[in-house]
Amino acid sequence: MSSIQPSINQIQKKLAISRLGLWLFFASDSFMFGGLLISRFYLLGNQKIELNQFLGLVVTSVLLVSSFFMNRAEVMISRDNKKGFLTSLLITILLGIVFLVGVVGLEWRDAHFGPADGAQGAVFYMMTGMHAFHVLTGIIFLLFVLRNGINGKFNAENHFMVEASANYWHFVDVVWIIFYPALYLMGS
Amino acid sequence: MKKLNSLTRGIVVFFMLAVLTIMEYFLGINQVPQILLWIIAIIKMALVLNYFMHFYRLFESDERGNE
Amino acid sequence: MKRVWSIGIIRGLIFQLFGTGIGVIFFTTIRTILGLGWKTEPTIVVGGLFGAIFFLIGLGAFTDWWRAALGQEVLEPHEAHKFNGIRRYFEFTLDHKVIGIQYGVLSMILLSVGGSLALIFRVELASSGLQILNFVQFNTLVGLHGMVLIISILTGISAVSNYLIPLLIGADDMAFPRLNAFSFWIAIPASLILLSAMFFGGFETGWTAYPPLSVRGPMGIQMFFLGVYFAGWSSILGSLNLITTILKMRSPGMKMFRLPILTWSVLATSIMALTATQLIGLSFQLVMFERLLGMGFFTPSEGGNPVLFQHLFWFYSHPAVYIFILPGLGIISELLPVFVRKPLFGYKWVAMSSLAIALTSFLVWGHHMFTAGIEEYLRVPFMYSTLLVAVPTGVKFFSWVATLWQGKARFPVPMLFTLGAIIVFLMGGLTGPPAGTVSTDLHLHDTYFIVGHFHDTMFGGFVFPIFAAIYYWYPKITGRKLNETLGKIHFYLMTPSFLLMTFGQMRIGLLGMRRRIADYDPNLGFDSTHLLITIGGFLIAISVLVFFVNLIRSAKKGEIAEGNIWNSRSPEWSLLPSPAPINNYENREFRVVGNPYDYGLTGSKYVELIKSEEIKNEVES
Repeated sequence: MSSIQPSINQIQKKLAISRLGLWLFFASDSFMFGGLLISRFYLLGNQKIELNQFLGLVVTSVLLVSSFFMNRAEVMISRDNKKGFLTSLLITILLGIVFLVGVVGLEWRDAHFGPADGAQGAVFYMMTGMHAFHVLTGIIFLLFVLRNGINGKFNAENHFMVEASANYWHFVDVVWIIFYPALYLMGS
Repeated sequence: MKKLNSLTRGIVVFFMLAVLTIMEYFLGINQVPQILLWIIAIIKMALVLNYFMHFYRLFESDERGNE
Repeated sequence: MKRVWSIGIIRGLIFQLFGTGIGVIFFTTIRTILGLGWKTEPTIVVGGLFGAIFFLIGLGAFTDWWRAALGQEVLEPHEAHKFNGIRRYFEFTLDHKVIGIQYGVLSMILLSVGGSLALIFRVELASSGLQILNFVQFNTLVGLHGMVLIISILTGISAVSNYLIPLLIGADDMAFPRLNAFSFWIAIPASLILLSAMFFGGFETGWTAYPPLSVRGPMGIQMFFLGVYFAGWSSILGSLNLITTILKMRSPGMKMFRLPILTWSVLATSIMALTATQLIGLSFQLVMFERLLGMGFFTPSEGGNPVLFQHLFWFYSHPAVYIFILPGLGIISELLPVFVRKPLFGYKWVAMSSLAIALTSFLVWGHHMFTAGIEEYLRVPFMYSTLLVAVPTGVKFFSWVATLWQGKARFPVPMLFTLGAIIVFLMGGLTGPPAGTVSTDLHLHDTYFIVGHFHDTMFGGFVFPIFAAIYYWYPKITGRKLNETLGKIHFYLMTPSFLLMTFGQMRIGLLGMRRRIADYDPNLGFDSTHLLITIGGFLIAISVLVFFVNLIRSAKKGEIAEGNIWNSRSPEWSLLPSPAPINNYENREFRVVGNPYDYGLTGSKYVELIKSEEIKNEVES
């Protein structure tokens, strides 16, 4: 096995490659979400889905706050503040779980239609379901990050895993930023 | 915005997002033209993409990066 | 037994079998706990899903990622060459050349499977009346012929791009070698699941799987959806990898306009595959969920709309045909200058035309739906955008013709296939506009004319070029040349029989023969033409058989290829020995100093080796 220490240039290059790969994945995934969004407007048009508006606002806020803490965690680790990093990360994960419970546990139970009740139910459950699936995978990634963070694997120079999961988390947030008005607010 | 340190910047961005969300909510339940909701959603998306996801990092040269 | 177990692919297949069982048991248990009875359809879907994931686990595809996720050290890809010889082709290996060949073999296997399916239903069609198949069998075969060959084409272009792109741009491997291996290996359970659709009652929809038929038909369609879904991931992740590699890992001095032209077309293809593939995945997923959970996306009585499926489906499936042909057109542009010893005419225009085709392809999907009841005002815009595609395609043709003009052409087998590709693709191209124009399409829609047109584009854009590519780069893979005589037999048998087949199809199509039907009225007088088409199909099969014999024979007994046998300027021929060494350009790092296709210009150079002292300086600085 060769054991030449990789140079700074090589590390930077690898980082740039990984970043590009990550963003290409987002680009790809956003086409899937875009397809769902188009389905919503194609099938339901200007029809408003009857949902619990208050609950919608609450889960949206929860996801937004979690995104804020995720950003904070990333800033903390880039300054080598490991304690602050772990605290913010933990809050992010907990808020993520609250969001999932809010959507899957409460909203799905609360809605007065099931997935088999017409186009409205189909669109609503598919969109929230796909998004919830992404939140779930995001939480799993963050749990791995948390575990590695506790074991002290990250520092200011070396934390691409944190950056990647943070970006994924924000991406899921961006999707909800579009889905929230499309599902809850638009139409009459 | 550039001059703020990154923690404060996070807080400012968060407050902007929060205000926009509340605006969106009240506009939404009051049946305004859809285009307004779209504009707000796109502003929010741009804020997150730029300040939280650091989209610009993608175009930094390979040699130097990472704040 | 232990020896057999240690072979990756066998372990994977056994795991898949057990995984399917585990999925079935798991799902049944949950249903029993919830107090529900046995229901076959969701059970086999869950089984198939588990099977594919278990295949990858058994193979060891997740091992390194799992370790990396836990923060443990994983080997750098170039240190991880665990296997040698023939063995490495059956394992989860990271070398892009091995993965390229794995893709190639899978593609050829699927090509023969898909082709054989076609031969079966061609026998049925050779005369009117029903002889050997019933309707569901016929429909299943037609649908599988389409989809199996689509996956064969996708893996075929992945084979070409995986093997060649790092060699052409001077990278030591792909950007993400583990992802690369993953995207190959997921295609194997995908193909198996897809083919298993035959044993779950088949399906009746053809490869397009339109609802409402796909919502109601037999449940083989679920396996079809699942297989395509996994193959889609293979395509998406593969193209992600290729884009990153092309943008970030080029040799010093290789500016974007000094890229080999094949790289440009692979880039354009990958942009389409990366984004549009999600929508076929989504559309199939929606039908799947409609069948499983009763979600009414496409059932009008539930408030759904079947036309939505067609929009989502064709948003991928039209770009898909450009995904299939662009690498092939890139191969034509790559090989022509080598064999006519002239610069490629209008390099920049050809490069940009690939991107232009890619971008236009996102705007044309509606031309598949002129008769499907889409809004009237959409027809004309879609017609214009469709005809717009002819412009960049025309640029490519002008470039080829101008490159050929007054060239000193040689005619070895790869050149024959290149010329064949140009001619056949021209036929496909010329029959395109009538199908894209609303007034004529209303007559031609769903007839054999479309079948003929489509086979022309696929053969001209994929099959002929990939054969050219194999004849051209086979010596780089094995160190031995393919037999020229057998190659010529292959070419001179395949080309006329292919033209016979598609011209026959177009003729009866114009006269009103509908596609996807097992039987036709003898009074229409199509019997003799159908018989000719069937004969043409069988002759193609025989010629491909000759090709396979050639492939296997020449690996051991072929003429040894030493040095730059085609006298090419590109780095993999001018700098590397054959077969290509395992670490690509290690100790042969090069820099690009000129334009790639300046054949015949005295004193011009494309690549030059970087001297070892300079590399040392670079590392130290």
